[in-house]
Amino acid sequence: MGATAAVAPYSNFAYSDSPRVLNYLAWPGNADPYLIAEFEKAHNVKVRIKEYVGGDQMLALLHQAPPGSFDVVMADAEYMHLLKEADFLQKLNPDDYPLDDYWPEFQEFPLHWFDGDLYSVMTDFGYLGLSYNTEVFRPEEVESYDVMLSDKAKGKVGFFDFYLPSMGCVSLAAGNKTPFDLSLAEFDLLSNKLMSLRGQASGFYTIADIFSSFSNRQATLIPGIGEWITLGLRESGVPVDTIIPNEGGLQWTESMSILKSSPKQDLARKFIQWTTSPKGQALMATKPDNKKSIPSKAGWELLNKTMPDEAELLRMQLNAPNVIDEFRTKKIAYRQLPSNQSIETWNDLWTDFKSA
Amino acid sequence: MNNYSDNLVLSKNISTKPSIKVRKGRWFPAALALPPLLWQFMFFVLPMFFLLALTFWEVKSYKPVPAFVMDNWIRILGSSSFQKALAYTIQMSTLSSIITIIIALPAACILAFRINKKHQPILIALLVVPVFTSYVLRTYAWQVVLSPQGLINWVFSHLGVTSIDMLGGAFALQIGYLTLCLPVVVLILTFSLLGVDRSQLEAASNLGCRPHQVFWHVLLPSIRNGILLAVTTVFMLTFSDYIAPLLLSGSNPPTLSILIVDTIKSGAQWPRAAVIGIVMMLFIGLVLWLSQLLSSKEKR
Repeated sequence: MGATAAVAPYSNFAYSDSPRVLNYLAWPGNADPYLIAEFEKAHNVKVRIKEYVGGDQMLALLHQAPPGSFDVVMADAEYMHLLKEADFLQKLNPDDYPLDDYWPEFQEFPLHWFDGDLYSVMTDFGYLGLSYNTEVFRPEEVESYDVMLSDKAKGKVGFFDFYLPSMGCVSLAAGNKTPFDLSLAEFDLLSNKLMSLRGQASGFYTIADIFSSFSNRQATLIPGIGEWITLGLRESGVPVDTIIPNEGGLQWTESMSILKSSPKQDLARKFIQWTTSPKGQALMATKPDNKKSIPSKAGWELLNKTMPDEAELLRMQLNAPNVIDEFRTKKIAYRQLPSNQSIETWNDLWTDFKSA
Repeated sequence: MNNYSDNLVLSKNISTKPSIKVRKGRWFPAALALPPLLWQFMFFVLPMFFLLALTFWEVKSYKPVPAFVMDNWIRILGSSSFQKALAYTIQMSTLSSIITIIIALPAACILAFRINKKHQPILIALLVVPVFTSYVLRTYAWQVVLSPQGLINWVFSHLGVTSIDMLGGAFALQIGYLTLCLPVVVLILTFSLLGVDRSQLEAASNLGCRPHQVFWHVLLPSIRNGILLAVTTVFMLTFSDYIAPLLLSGSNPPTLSILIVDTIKSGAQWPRAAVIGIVMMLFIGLVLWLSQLLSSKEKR
């Protein structure tokens, strides 16, 4: 009974072993009919999603669910090695997926390959930098993370309550070129920088509260978020934008993998093929609740042809400055789990920062 | 003689009948009490034992596994984040208890003594209604009112007053706690005041007591238990509240309820979160015991 109670929060997902149901573990919103209706109709199946928030919860779900509960998992790239180590992932055949359609930078994304084998296919990505209220700060004022320490920012710096992106950006602000691969001295720099920002904090927000705190100006600067937040807000008339400061930014990456224990390997493969197809990619980029950048150049081409306004808004135009240019500036580091300290050490620092 | 024997028979009958009644009387209340007792056992006592056991478990591969280690207790009790969150939560709950009583008592006095008896049920019903509406919704509504571009600052801007940051701190947190507790406390105090023997108040007045003396020396002691109940209720509700710290204070700084969620989010540390939960339960138990102690002292 004890064990049952312990896993109860994670076990309320009634997975189906029906061959007509694909059990999908993913961040919220990824089974939006906008994305999957065509796939469901074409294959006469139902995609049943179990949503999670945060990589730790995703890992807990996979560890606690009976084998075979999920067929496909969408995960952030930084958790891929943990999924691989726990032997959850099925090795993929690169020829099954349209990787040649991808931008060259993403055809062999390092965090998805282990010993020359592919275990995950990138579906979307975005950058994290410094988001700001454009009526309070001018673009030239936010070229450095140092603006967070300015008088104008006192009590107005909001923090996304997720240690990884927030501390990653602060690590960049502290001068750490490899923000997650820190020596003891570099970790101290991060710690000192983080604590120096405590007096500037307006609060620590969930994703929903980031939207409201930016809208009502409770926060006018938020590090560690990006266009996935500010684009939607800007469309709603909120004067916000995101910049990659001189110290650099982070890239988050979502990808899809097939679970080794899945009895529906073929259906799972087809689902990833659909999501990485030009049509699936264009839909992924323009999902109403959460717009993203996509790695498929063929997807970009389709987007520019069928939805040129969206392509411009998402800075995914082929003949204009675009998000790939930012990647090529070498200012972007992959968001990763800490390599020299434990996750617990980083989490503890984050908790200490919040309580300070 | 016959009468006597009849009486004897009757008395025998009488002597047996009550015993049946007593047995009936014993069985019936026990049957009535059984479902809630079973409910409490299943959904409070057992989970509490499990929660306590969980505090000694380990987390392996993001999964709590049975063990008997003291590490969770040592880490949590020795953590400065926990100590700060505990101190802050106690401070905020105590402050909220005081503020709520100060605001609720005059309102309850007016409801109990000044409002026409015909209108009392309507006003009490109006107090009850908010209790049945969504607390989350009411708290979100306060975001709209208190935000830098919210209702209050909009009024300020029209009066030429500089806008004030009201969200994201202790002030907003207290507003949230008041939203949660005020209707309940006004009700508790109103019913306490309605139970006060008014002749005592009149007697004190007639004997020359000024209104404030009647209030301090007659009225307040008469509703002492009601006040204790109200204080305990506010403390318990606010001590474990998650909504107001999350939505109004932006977890800045975190309370214990926020810390529980943070602990689970980071590495699925259910056993450490259970330690915080047990400490919270102990504190609530302590407050209840203190309240009971003060209440029984008064009875003596």
